[in-house]
Amino acid sequence: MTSPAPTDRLAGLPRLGVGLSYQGTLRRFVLEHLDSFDFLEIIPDIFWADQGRGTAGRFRESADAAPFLAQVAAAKPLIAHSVGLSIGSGDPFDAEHMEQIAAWQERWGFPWHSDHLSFNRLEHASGHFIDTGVTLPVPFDTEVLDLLCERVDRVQSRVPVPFLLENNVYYFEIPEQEMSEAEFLNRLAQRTGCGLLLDLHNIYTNARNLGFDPWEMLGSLDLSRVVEVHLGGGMEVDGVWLDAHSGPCPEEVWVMLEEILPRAPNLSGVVFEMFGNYFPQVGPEPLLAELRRARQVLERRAA
Amino acid sequence: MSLQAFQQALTDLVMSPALRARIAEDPPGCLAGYDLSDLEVRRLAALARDPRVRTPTLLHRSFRLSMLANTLPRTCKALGPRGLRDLMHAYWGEGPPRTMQYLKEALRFAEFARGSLRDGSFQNAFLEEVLETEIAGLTLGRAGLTWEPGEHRVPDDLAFRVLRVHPACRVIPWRHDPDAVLAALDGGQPLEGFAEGEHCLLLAATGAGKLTSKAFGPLERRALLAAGGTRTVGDLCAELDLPGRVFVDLVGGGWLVA
Repeated sequence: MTSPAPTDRLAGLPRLGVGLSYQGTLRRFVLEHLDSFDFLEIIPDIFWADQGRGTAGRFRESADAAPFLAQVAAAKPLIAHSVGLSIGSGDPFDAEHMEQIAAWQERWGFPWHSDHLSFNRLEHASGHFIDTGVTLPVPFDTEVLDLLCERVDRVQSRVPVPFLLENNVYYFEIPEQEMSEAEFLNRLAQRTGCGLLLDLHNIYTNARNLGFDPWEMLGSLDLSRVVEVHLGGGMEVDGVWLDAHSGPCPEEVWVMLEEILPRAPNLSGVVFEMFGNYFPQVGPEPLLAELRRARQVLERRAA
Repeated sequence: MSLQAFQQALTDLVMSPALRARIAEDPPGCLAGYDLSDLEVRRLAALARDPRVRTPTLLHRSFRLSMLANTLPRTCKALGPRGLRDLMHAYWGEGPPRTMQYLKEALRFAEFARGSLRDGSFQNAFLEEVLETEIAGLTLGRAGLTWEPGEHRVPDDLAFRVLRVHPACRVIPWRHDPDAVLAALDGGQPLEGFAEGEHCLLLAATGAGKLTSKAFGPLERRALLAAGGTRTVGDLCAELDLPGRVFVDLVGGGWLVA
Protein backbone atom coordinates (compact mmCIF):
# COMPACT_ATOMS: atom_id res chain seq x y z
CA MET A 1 0.00 0.00 0.00
CA THR A 2 2.78 2.42 0.91
CA SER A 3 6.33 2.66 -0.21
CA PRO A 4 9.16 4.28 1.67
CA ALA A 5 10.42 7.56 0.35
CA PRO A 6 14.07 7.59 -0.72
CA THR A 7 16.20 7.24 2.37
CA ASP A 8 18.32 10.21 1.44
CA ARG A 9 15.30 12.51 1.43
CA LEU A 10 15.73 13.34 5.10
CA ALA A 11 19.51 13.25 4.90
CA GLY A 12 19.45 15.92 2.21
CA LEU A 13 17.63 18.46 4.32
CA PRO A 14 19.46 21.63 5.28
CA ARG A 15 20.85 21.63 8.81
CA LEU A 16 19.04 24.73 9.99
CA GLY A 17 20.18 24.78 13.61
CA VAL A 18 18.16 26.38 16.41
CA GLY A 19 14.58 27.41 15.81
CA LEU A 20 12.05 29.43 17.73
CA SER A 21 8.38 28.50 17.81
CA TYR A 22 6.41 31.62 16.94
CA GLN A 23 3.49 32.96 18.97
CA GLY A 24 1.70 36.26 18.45
CA THR A 25 3.14 37.85 21.59
CA LEU A 26 6.65 37.06 20.34
CA ARG A 27 6.36 39.29 17.27
CA ARG A 28 8.49 42.08 18.68
CA PHE A 29 10.97 39.63 20.18
CA VAL A 30 11.36 37.90 16.81
CA LEU A 31 12.06 41.12 14.98
CA GLU A 32 14.41 42.46 17.65
CA HIS A 33 16.32 39.20 18.19
CA LEU A 34 16.67 37.73 14.73
CA ASP A 35 20.22 36.68 15.56
CA SER A 36 19.11 34.53 18.47
CA PHE A 37 17.65 31.79 16.25
CA ASP A 38 18.40 30.24 12.87
CA PHE A 39 14.86 29.66 11.69
CA LEU A 40 11.33 30.46 12.77
CA GLU A 41 8.76 27.73 13.17
CA ILE A 42 5.26 29.02 12.58
CA ILE A 43 1.87 27.50 13.24
CA PRO A 44 0.26 28.43 9.91
CA ASP A 45 -3.21 28.01 11.38
CA ILE A 46 -2.79 31.10 13.59
CA PHE A 47 -2.35 33.26 10.50
CA TRP A 48 -5.76 32.47 9.06
CA ALA A 49 -9.34 32.09 10.23
CA ASP A 50 -10.67 28.66 9.26
CA GLN A 51 -14.30 29.06 8.19
CA GLY A 52 -14.89 25.30 8.28
CA ARG A 53 -14.84 22.42 5.85
CA GLY A 54 -16.51 22.97 2.51
CA THR A 55 -16.75 26.75 2.95
CA ALA A 56 -15.78 28.86 -0.06
CA GLY A 57 -12.65 30.82 0.78
CA ARG A 58 -12.30 28.64 3.85
CA PHE A 59 -8.92 29.93 5.05
CA ARG A 60 -9.20 33.70 5.50
CA GLU A 61 -5.72 35.03 5.96
CA SER A 62 -5.24 37.78 8.52
CA ALA A 63 -4.22 41.08 6.98
CA ASP A 64 -0.91 41.35 8.80
CA ALA A 65 0.24 37.77 8.12
CA ALA A 66 1.98 38.30 4.80
CA PRO A 67 3.92 41.47 5.70
CA PHE A 68 5.24 39.93 8.92
CA LEU A 69 6.14 36.58 7.38
CA ALA A 70 7.79 38.26 4.40
CA GLN A 71 9.88 40.37 6.76
CA VAL A 72 11.08 37.33 8.68
CA ALA A 73 11.48 35.15 5.58
CA ALA A 74 13.85 37.73 4.12
CA ALA A 75 16.21 36.99 7.00
CA LYS A 76 15.48 33.44 8.19
CA PRO A 77 13.94 30.21 6.87
CA LEU A 78 10.37 29.49 7.91
CA ILE A 79 9.10 26.04 8.92
CA ALA A 80 5.42 25.09 9.22
CA HIS A 81 4.17 23.17 12.24
CA SER A 82 0.44 22.87 11.81
CA VAL A 83 -2.30 22.10 14.31
CA GLY A 84 -5.14 21.91 11.83
CA LEU A 85 -4.86 18.66 9.90
CA SER A 86 -6.05 16.45 12.79
CA ILE A 87 -4.54 13.58 10.86
CA GLY A 88 -5.55 10.97 13.42
CA SER A 89 -9.22 11.84 13.24
CA GLY A 90 -11.61 9.09 12.22
CA ASP A 91 -13.45 11.62 10.06
CA PRO A 92 -12.71 11.85 6.35
CA PHE A 93 -9.28 13.26 5.57
CA ASP A 94 -9.18 17.05 5.44
CA ALA A 95 -7.83 17.50 1.90
CA GLU A 96 -8.66 21.22 1.96
CA HIS A 97 -6.27 21.77 4.84
CA MET A 98 -3.58 19.80 3.03
CA GLU A 99 -4.09 22.00 -0.05
CA GLN A 100 -3.73 25.10 2.08
CA ILE A 101 -0.46 23.80 3.53
CA ALA A 102 0.73 22.95 0.01
CA ALA A 103 -0.05 26.50 -1.11
CA TRP A 104 1.82 27.98 1.85
CA GLN A 105 4.77 25.66 1.33
CA GLU A 106 5.04 26.91 -2.23
CA ARG A 107 4.67 30.50 -1.10
CA TRP A 108 7.04 30.48 1.86
CA GLY A 109 9.44 27.71 0.86
CA PHE A 110 9.28 25.56 4.01
CA PRO A 111 12.11 22.96 3.74
CA TRP A 112 9.84 20.57 5.65
CA HIS A 113 6.51 20.75 7.47
CA SER A 114 4.89 18.90 10.32
CA ASP A 115 1.71 18.20 12.26
CA HIS A 116 0.66 16.27 15.35
CA LEU A 117 0.10 12.53 15.66
CA SER A 118 -3.26 12.93 17.34
CA PHE A 119 -6.75 14.21 16.71
CA ASN A 120 -8.48 17.37 17.86
CA ARG A 121 -11.13 17.95 15.20
CA LEU A 122 -14.02 15.68 14.41
CA GLU A 123 -17.66 15.68 13.51
CA HIS A 124 -19.57 15.53 16.75
CA ALA A 125 -22.72 13.52 17.31
CA SER A 126 -24.52 16.90 17.36
CA GLY A 127 -23.72 17.21 13.64
CA HIS A 128 -21.22 20.04 14.11
CA PHE A 129 -17.51 19.88 13.53
CA ILE A 130 -15.85 20.52 16.83
CA ASP A 131 -12.36 21.35 17.99
CA THR A 132 -11.36 20.12 21.41
CA GLY A 133 -8.42 22.51 21.64
CA VAL A 134 -6.46 19.58 23.06
CA THR A 135 -4.57 17.02 20.97
CA LEU A 136 -6.06 13.68 21.99
CA PRO A 137 -4.23 10.37 21.51
CA VAL A 138 -5.05 7.77 18.89
CA PRO A 139 -4.89 4.07 19.78
CA PHE A 140 -1.58 2.53 18.76
CA ASP A 141 -3.36 -0.17 16.74
CA THR A 142 -2.82 -1.59 13.27
CA GLU A 143 -6.12 -0.14 12.05
CA VAL A 144 -5.01 3.37 13.01
CA LEU A 145 -1.53 2.78 11.60
CA ASP A 146 -3.04 1.80 8.24
CA LEU A 147 -5.22 4.91 8.25
CA LEU A 148 -2.29 7.17 9.09
CA CYS A 149 0.00 5.61 6.49
CA GLU A 150 -2.58 6.26 3.79
CA ARG A 151 -2.95 9.88 4.89
CA VAL A 152 0.76 10.51 5.24
CA ASP A 153 1.17 9.18 1.70
CA ARG A 154 -1.44 11.65 0.49
CA VAL A 155 0.31 14.54 2.18
CA GLN A 156 3.70 13.48 0.85
CA SER A 157 2.31 13.10 -2.67
CA ARG A 158 0.90 16.60 -2.58
CA VAL A 159 3.43 18.67 -0.61
CA PRO A 160 6.86 18.34 -2.19
CA VAL A 161 8.95 18.52 1.01
CA PRO A 162 9.33 16.00 3.85
CA PHE A 163 6.44 15.67 6.25
CA LEU A 164 7.05 15.03 9.95
CA LEU A 165 4.68 13.84 12.62
CA GLU A 166 5.14 14.83 16.24
CA ASN A 167 4.82 12.37 19.10
CA ASN A 168 1.89 13.51 21.19
CA VAL A 169 1.63 14.53 24.80
CA TYR A 170 -1.09 12.51 26.49
CA TYR A 171 -2.18 12.44 30.07
CA PHE A 172 -3.85 9.02 29.96
CA GLU A 173 -3.12 5.82 28.09
CA ILE A 174 -5.71 4.06 25.99
CA PRO A 175 -5.90 0.52 27.40
CA GLU A 176 -5.15 -2.67 25.46
CA GLN A 177 -3.19 -1.03 22.65
CA GLU A 178 -1.65 -3.38 20.09
CA MET A 179 1.79 -1.81 20.14
CA SER A 180 3.94 0.62 22.06
CA GLU A 181 4.28 4.23 21.00
CA ALA A 182 7.85 3.66 19.82
CA GLU A 183 6.84 0.66 17.73
CA PHE A 184 3.95 2.61 16.27
CA LEU A 185 6.17 5.58 15.34
CA ASN A 186 8.86 3.29 13.89
CA ARG A 187 6.38 1.44 11.73
CA LEU A 188 4.74 4.65 10.56
CA ALA A 189 8.07 6.15 9.54
CA GLN A 190 9.28 2.92 7.97
CA ARG A 191 6.16 2.39 5.89
CA THR A 192 5.71 5.94 4.69
CA GLY A 193 9.21 7.38 4.75
CA CYS A 194 7.95 10.30 6.79
CA GLY A 195 10.14 12.02 9.32
CA LEU A 196 9.61 12.39 13.05
CA LEU A 197 9.35 15.54 15.05
CA LEU A 198 10.56 14.31 18.40
CA ASP A 199 9.11 16.41 21.19
CA LEU A 200 11.36 15.56 24.11
CA HIS A 201 9.27 17.51 26.58
CA ASN A 202 6.24 15.47 25.54
CA ILE A 203 8.16 12.26 26.28
CA TYR A 204 9.34 13.70 29.59
CA THR A 205 5.77 14.72 30.49
CA ASN A 206 4.23 11.40 29.48
CA ALA A 207 6.89 9.41 31.30
CA ARG A 208 6.62 11.50 34.46
CA ASN A 209 2.83 11.36 34.60
CA LEU A 210 2.31 7.79 33.43
CA GLY A 211 5.30 6.27 35.16
CA PHE A 212 7.27 4.78 32.30
CA ASP A 213 10.97 4.96 31.54
CA PRO A 214 11.64 7.63 28.89
CA TRP A 215 15.05 6.14 28.16
CA GLU A 216 13.48 2.83 27.28
CA MET A 217 11.20 4.57 24.82
CA LEU A 218 14.06 6.59 23.33
CA GLY A 219 16.12 3.40 23.12
CA SER A 220 13.36 1.73 21.09
CA LEU A 221 12.84 4.60 18.66
CA ASP A 222 14.49 4.70 15.25
CA LEU A 223 16.10 8.10 15.71
CA SER A 224 17.37 8.17 12.14
CA ARG A 225 13.89 9.40 11.21
CA VAL A 226 14.11 12.40 13.53
CA VAL A 227 14.39 15.65 11.58
CA GLU A 228 13.35 18.06 14.27
CA VAL A 229 13.33 18.16 18.06
CA HIS A 230 11.02 20.21 20.24
CA LEU A 231 12.13 21.51 23.60
CA GLY A 232 9.95 23.26 26.11
CA GLY A 233 9.11 23.72 29.74
CA GLY A 234 6.18 22.86 31.91
CA MET A 235 4.78 23.07 35.39
CA GLU A 236 3.31 20.81 38.02
CA VAL A 237 -0.33 21.31 38.96
CA ASP A 238 -1.98 19.02 41.52
CA GLY A 239 0.71 16.41 41.04
CA VAL A 240 0.46 16.40 37.25
CA TRP A 241 3.26 17.74 35.07
CA LEU A 242 1.72 19.88 32.34
CA ASP A 243 3.22 20.40 28.92
CA ALA A 244 2.54 24.07 29.48
CA HIS A 245 5.42 25.57 27.47
CA SER A 246 5.63 27.97 30.35
CA GLY A 247 9.33 28.47 30.85
CA PRO A 248 12.77 26.89 30.84
CA CYS A 249 13.31 23.31 29.78
CA PRO A 250 13.80 20.77 32.62
CA GLU A 251 17.36 19.52 32.98
CA GLU A 252 16.28 15.97 32.19
CA VAL A 253 15.12 17.12 28.76
CA TRP A 254 18.48 18.75 28.04
CA VAL A 255 20.13 15.46 28.98
CA MET A 256 17.79 13.65 26.57
CA LEU A 257 18.81 16.02 23.80
CA GLU A 258 22.51 15.46 24.43
CA GLU A 259 22.03 11.72 24.51
CA ILE A 260 19.99 11.34 21.33
CA LEU A 261 22.21 13.50 19.13
CA PRO A 262 24.70 10.76 18.18
CA ARG A 263 21.79 8.53 17.12
CA ALA A 264 19.93 11.20 15.14
CA PRO A 265 22.03 11.78 12.01
CA ASN A 266 19.24 13.55 10.14
CA LEU A 267 18.40 16.03 12.86
CA SER A 268 18.07 19.37 11.09
CA GLY A 269 16.55 21.64 13.69
CA VAL A 270 15.99 22.03 17.43
CA VAL A 271 13.06 24.27 18.28
CA PHE A 272 12.27 25.88 21.61
CA GLU A 273 8.58 26.36 22.36
CA MET A 274 7.02 28.88 24.74
CA PHE A 275 3.32 29.72 24.75
CA GLY A 276 2.66 33.35 24.05
CA ASN A 277 0.70 34.03 27.22
CA TYR A 278 3.75 33.19 29.37
CA PHE A 279 6.17 35.38 27.46
CA PRO A 280 5.02 38.70 28.99
CA GLN A 281 5.59 37.21 32.47
CA VAL A 282 8.86 35.46 31.67
CA GLY A 283 10.38 38.15 29.46
CA PRO A 284 13.04 37.89 26.76
CA GLU A 285 16.10 36.91 28.81
CA PRO A 286 15.08 33.35 29.79
CA LEU A 287 13.98 32.72 26.21
CA LEU A 288 17.32 33.96 24.88
CA ALA A 289 19.11 31.76 27.42
CA GLU A 290 17.26 28.65 26.24
CA LEU A 291 18.04 29.43 22.62
CA ARG A 292 21.73 29.99 23.49
CA ARG A 293 21.88 26.70 25.36
CA ALA A 294 20.31 24.81 22.46
CA ARG A 295 22.90 26.35 20.15
CA GLN A 296 25.73 25.32 22.47
CA VAL A 297 24.49 21.73 22.48
CA LEU A 298 24.35 21.65 18.69
CA GLU A 299 27.78 23.25 18.39
CA ARG A 300 29.27 20.59 20.69
CA ARG A 301 27.72 17.96 18.45
CA ALA A 302 29.21 19.54 15.36
CA ALA A 303 32.62 19.71 17.01
CA MET B 1 -17.79 0.08 14.96
CA SER B 2 -15.41 2.73 13.80
CA LEU B 3 -12.55 4.89 14.88
CA GLN B 4 -14.87 7.85 14.39
CA ALA B 5 -17.43 6.54 16.90
CA PHE B 6 -14.68 5.74 19.41
CA GLN B 7 -13.24 9.22 19.07
CA GLN B 8 -16.66 10.83 19.45
CA ALA B 9 -17.20 8.91 22.66
CA LEU B 10 -13.67 9.63 23.89
CA THR B 11 -14.10 13.33 23.17
CA ASP B 12 -17.42 13.43 25.00
CA LEU B 13 -15.86 11.60 27.92
CA VAL B 14 -12.97 14.06 28.09
CA MET B 15 -15.19 17.13 27.80
CA SER B 16 -17.82 16.05 30.33
CA PRO B 17 -16.98 14.84 33.85
CA ALA B 18 -20.69 14.16 34.34
CA LEU B 19 -20.76 11.78 31.39
CA ARG B 20 -17.57 10.19 32.65
CA ALA B 21 -19.22 9.44 35.97
CA ARG B 22 -22.25 7.95 34.24
CA ILE B 23 -20.09 5.76 32.00
CA ALA B 24 -18.13 4.55 35.01
CA GLU B 25 -21.42 3.45 36.59
CA ASP B 26 -22.96 1.83 33.55
CA PRO B 27 -20.59 1.51 30.57
CA PRO B 28 -22.81 -0.52 28.20
CA GLY B 29 -25.87 1.60 28.93
CA CYS B 30 -24.17 4.97 28.58
CA LEU B 31 -22.19 3.99 25.51
CA ALA B 32 -25.08 2.33 23.70
CA GLY B 33 -25.57 5.40 21.53
CA TYR B 34 -22.13 5.00 19.98
CA ASP B 35 -21.38 2.27 17.46
CA LEU B 36 -18.53 0.63 19.40
CA SER B 37 -16.78 -2.75 19.48
CA ASP B 38 -16.41 -4.67 22.73
CA LEU B 39 -12.78 -3.58 22.90
CA GLU B 40 -13.74 0.06 22.48
CA VAL B 41 -16.37 -0.22 25.22
CA ARG B 42 -13.77 -1.80 27.53
CA ARG B 43 -11.31 0.97 26.73
CA LEU B 44 -13.80 3.74 27.38
CA ALA B 45 -15.08 2.11 30.55
CA ALA B 46 -11.52 1.96 31.87
CA LEU B 47 -10.86 5.57 30.91
CA ALA B 48 -14.08 6.68 32.62
CA ARG B 49 -12.59 5.36 35.86
CA ASP B 50 -9.11 6.74 35.17
CA PRO B 51 -8.50 9.90 37.25
CA ARG B 52 -5.79 10.96 34.80
CA VAL B 53 -8.50 11.86 32.26
CA ARG B 54 -9.24 14.87 34.48
CA THR B 55 -6.15 16.61 33.12
CA PRO B 56 -7.26 16.83 29.48
CA THR B 57 -10.67 17.90 30.79
CA LEU B 58 -8.97 20.73 32.65
CA LEU B 59 -6.91 21.64 29.60
CA HIS B 60 -9.94 21.55 27.33
CA ARG B 61 -11.86 23.83 29.67
CA SER B 62 -8.91 26.13 30.13
CA PHE B 63 -8.60 26.41 26.38
CA ARG B 64 -12.28 27.17 26.04
CA LEU B 65 -12.24 29.67 28.86
CA SER B 66 -9.12 31.32 27.51
CA MET B 67 -10.90 32.04 24.23
CA LEU B 68 -13.47 34.07 26.16
CA ALA B 69 -11.00 35.58 28.61
CA ASN B 70 -9.07 36.93 25.61
CA THR B 71 -12.05 38.26 23.68
CA LEU B 72 -14.41 39.26 26.51
CA PRO B 73 -12.16 40.11 29.48
CA ARG B 74 -14.47 42.71 31.01
CA THR B 75 -17.46 40.40 30.65
CA CYS B 76 -15.57 37.71 32.53
CA LYS B 77 -14.73 40.21 35.26
CA ALA B 78 -18.30 41.50 35.44
CA LEU B 79 -19.54 37.96 35.97
CA GLY B 80 -17.23 37.46 38.95
CA PRO B 81 -15.78 34.05 39.85
CA ARG B 82 -19.07 32.45 40.86
CA GLY B 83 -21.10 33.91 38.01
CA LEU B 84 -18.42 32.96 35.53
CA ARG B 85 -18.36 29.40 36.83
CA ASP B 86 -22.15 29.04 36.77
CA LEU B 87 -22.65 30.55 33.34
CA MET B 88 -19.70 28.65 31.84
CA HIS B 89 -20.97 25.35 33.17
CA ALA B 90 -24.36 26.03 31.65
CA TYR B 91 -22.75 27.12 28.37
CA TRP B 92 -20.41 24.16 28.18
CA GLY B 93 -23.36 21.89 28.87
CA GLU B 94 -25.02 23.23 25.74
CA GLY B 95 -22.45 21.69 23.45
CA PRO B 96 -18.80 21.35 22.56
CA PRO B 97 -16.71 24.08 20.93
CA ARG B 98 -17.13 24.21 17.19
CA THR B 99 -14.22 26.41 16.41
CA MET B 100 -10.84 27.63 17.53
CA GLN B 101 -11.78 31.07 16.22
CA TYR B 102 -11.99 33.32 19.21
CA LEU B 103 -14.48 35.72 17.63
CA LYS B 104 -16.92 32.97 16.66
CA GLU B 105 -16.71 31.42 20.11
CA ALA B 106 -17.32 34.86 21.68
CA LEU B 107 -20.38 35.43 19.48
CA ARG B 108 -21.74 32.00 20.31
CA PHE B 109 -21.24 32.60 24.01
CA ALA B 110 -22.87 36.02 23.72
CA GLU B 111 -25.94 34.45 22.14
CA PHE B 112 -26.10 31.93 24.97
CA ALA B 113 -25.69 34.62 27.63
CA ARG B 114 -28.41 36.79 26.07
CA GLY B 115 -30.76 33.83 26.08
CA SER B 116 -29.95 33.06 29.71
CA LEU B 117 -30.68 36.66 30.71
CA ARG B 118 -33.89 36.71 28.66
CA ASP B 119 -35.34 33.54 30.13
CA GLY B 120 -34.21 34.46 33.63
CA SER B 121 -32.03 31.38 34.12
CA PHE B 122 -29.12 33.70 34.86
CA GLN B 123 -29.12 37.11 36.47
CA ASN B 124 -26.44 39.78 36.57
CA ALA B 125 -27.21 43.49 36.54
CA PHE B 126 -24.12 44.42 34.52
CA LEU B 127 -23.70 41.49 32.17
CA GLU B 128 -25.82 42.70 29.27
CA GLU B 129 -24.27 46.15 28.95
CA VAL B 130 -20.68 44.98 29.41
CA LEU B 131 -21.13 42.02 27.09
CA GLU B 132 -22.82 44.06 24.35
CA THR B 133 -20.07 46.64 24.57
CA GLU B 134 -17.34 44.04 24.12
CA ILE B 135 -19.18 42.24 21.32
CA ALA B 136 -19.75 45.56 19.54
CA GLY B 137 -16.07 46.33 19.92
CA LEU B 138 -15.02 42.95 18.52
CA THR B 139 -17.20 43.22 15.44
CA LEU B 140 -16.67 46.94 14.88
CA GLY B 141 -12.90 46.61 15.07
CA ARG B 142 -12.97 44.10 12.22
CA ALA B 143 -15.46 45.93 10.02
CA GLY B 144 -12.80 48.00 8.27
CA LEU B 145 -14.72 51.28 8.71
CA THR B 146 -13.22 54.44 10.14
CA TRP B 147 -14.73 57.30 12.10
CA GLU B 148 -12.91 60.63 11.96
CA PRO B 149 -12.88 62.68 15.16
CA GLY B 150 -13.08 66.46 15.06
CA GLU B 151 -15.57 69.20 14.29
CA HIS B 152 -18.13 68.23 11.67
CA ARG B 153 -20.32 70.62 9.73
CA VAL B 154 -23.91 70.80 10.88
CA PRO B 155 -26.36 71.31 7.98
CA ASP B 156 -28.48 74.44 8.12
CA ASP B 157 -31.62 72.40 7.48
CA LEU B 158 -30.87 69.86 10.23
CA ALA B 159 -34.47 69.87 11.47
CA PHE B 160 -35.57 68.38 8.14
CA ARG B 161 -32.84 65.76 7.94
CA VAL B 162 -33.11 62.06 8.74
CA LEU B 163 -30.04 61.01 10.71
CA ARG B 164 -28.32 57.75 11.37
CA VAL B 165 -25.43 56.69 13.56
CA HIS B 166 -22.10 56.88 11.72
CA PRO B 167 -21.49 53.42 10.19
CA ALA B 168 -18.17 53.15 12.04
CA CYS B 169 -19.93 53.72 15.39
CA ARG B 170 -22.08 51.55 17.64
CA VAL B 171 -24.38 52.70 20.41
CA ILE B 172 -24.84 50.43 23.42
CA PRO B 173 -27.55 51.30 25.95
CA TRP B 174 -26.39 51.18 29.57
CA ARG B 175 -28.34 51.20 32.80
CA HIS B 176 -25.33 52.41 34.76
CA ASP B 177 -22.66 55.02 34.19
CA PRO B 178 -20.42 53.20 31.67
CA ASP B 179 -17.24 55.10 32.52
CA ALA B 180 -17.58 54.35 36.21
CA VAL B 181 -18.43 50.67 35.69
CA LEU B 182 -15.64 50.08 33.18
CA ALA B 183 -13.14 51.86 35.40
CA ALA B 184 -14.18 49.65 38.31
CA LEU B 185 -13.80 46.52 36.18
CA ASP B 186 -10.40 47.57 34.89
CA GLY B 187 -9.29 48.45 38.40
CA GLY B 188 -10.46 45.15 39.83
CA GLN B 189 -13.04 46.88 42.02
CA PRO B 190 -16.37 45.25 42.94
CA LEU B 191 -19.42 46.38 41.00
CA GLU B 192 -21.30 47.85 43.93
CA GLY B 193 -23.13 51.08 44.58
CA PHE B 194 -23.89 52.05 41.00
CA ALA B 195 -27.21 53.83 40.63
CA GLU B 196 -29.40 52.94 37.69
CA GLY B 197 -30.11 55.53 35.07
CA GLU B 198 -30.31 56.27 31.36
CA HIS B 199 -26.85 56.06 29.86
CA CYS B 200 -25.22 54.85 26.69
CA LEU B 201 -21.77 54.20 25.39
CA LEU B 202 -20.77 55.03 21.85
CA LEU B 203 -17.91 53.06 20.32
CA ALA B 204 -16.15 54.40 17.25
CA ALA B 205 -13.61 52.64 15.03
CA THR B 206 -10.65 54.90 14.41
CA GLY B 207 -8.77 52.63 12.03
CA ALA B 208 -6.31 49.73 12.21
CA GLY B 209 -8.61 47.86 14.58
CA LYS B 210 -8.52 50.64 17.17
CA LEU B 211 -11.56 51.94 19.00
CA THR B 212 -12.48 54.97 21.00
CA SER B 213 -15.48 55.33 23.28
CA LYS B 214 -17.63 58.10 24.66
CA ALA B 215 -20.30 57.91 27.32
CA PHE B 216 -23.50 59.92 26.98
CA GLY B 217 -26.36 60.80 29.30
CA PRO B 218 -30.13 60.44 28.95
CA LEU B 219 -30.81 63.05 26.27
CA GLU B 220 -28.08 61.90 23.90
CA ARG B 221 -29.02 58.29 24.55
CA ARG B 222 -32.57 58.94 23.41
CA ALA B 223 -31.37 60.77 20.33
CA LEU B 224 -28.78 58.16 19.37
CA LEU B 225 -31.15 55.23 19.85
CA ALA B 226 -33.93 56.94 17.91
CA ALA B 227 -31.73 57.77 14.92
CA GLY B 228 -31.74 55.46 11.94
CA GLY B 229 -35.45 55.44 11.27
CA THR B 230 -37.43 57.56 8.84
CA ARG B 231 -38.27 60.46 11.13
CA THR B 232 -36.63 63.82 10.76
CA VAL B 233 -34.75 65.59 13.51
CA GLY B 234 -37.69 67.94 13.93
CA ASP B 235 -40.09 65.05 14.40
CA LEU B 236 -37.79 63.33 16.87
CA CYS B 237 -37.36 66.50 18.94
CA ALA B 238 -41.13 66.77 19.20
CA GLU B 239 -41.81 63.12 19.90
CA LEU B 240 -39.00 62.60 22.39
CA ASP B 241 -39.18 66.05 23.92
CA LEU B 242 -35.55 66.67 23.05
CA PRO B 243 -33.91 70.06 22.56
CA GLY B 244 -32.49 70.56 19.09
CA ARG B 245 -29.03 71.27 20.46
CA VAL B 246 -28.65 67.57 21.34
CA PHE B 247 -28.74 66.68 17.64
CA VAL B 248 -26.55 69.65 16.77
CA ASP B 249 -23.89 68.40 19.18
CA LEU B 250 -24.11 64.80 17.99
CA VAL B 251 -23.85 65.81 14.34
CA GLY B 252 -21.08 68.26 15.13
CA GLY B 253 -19.17 65.48 16.88
CA GLY B 254 -19.55 63.26 13.83
CA TRP B 255 -21.49 60.55 15.65
CA LEU B 256 -24.74 61.16 13.78
CA VAL B 257 -24.69 61.68 10.03
CA ALA B 258 -27.32 62.63 7.51
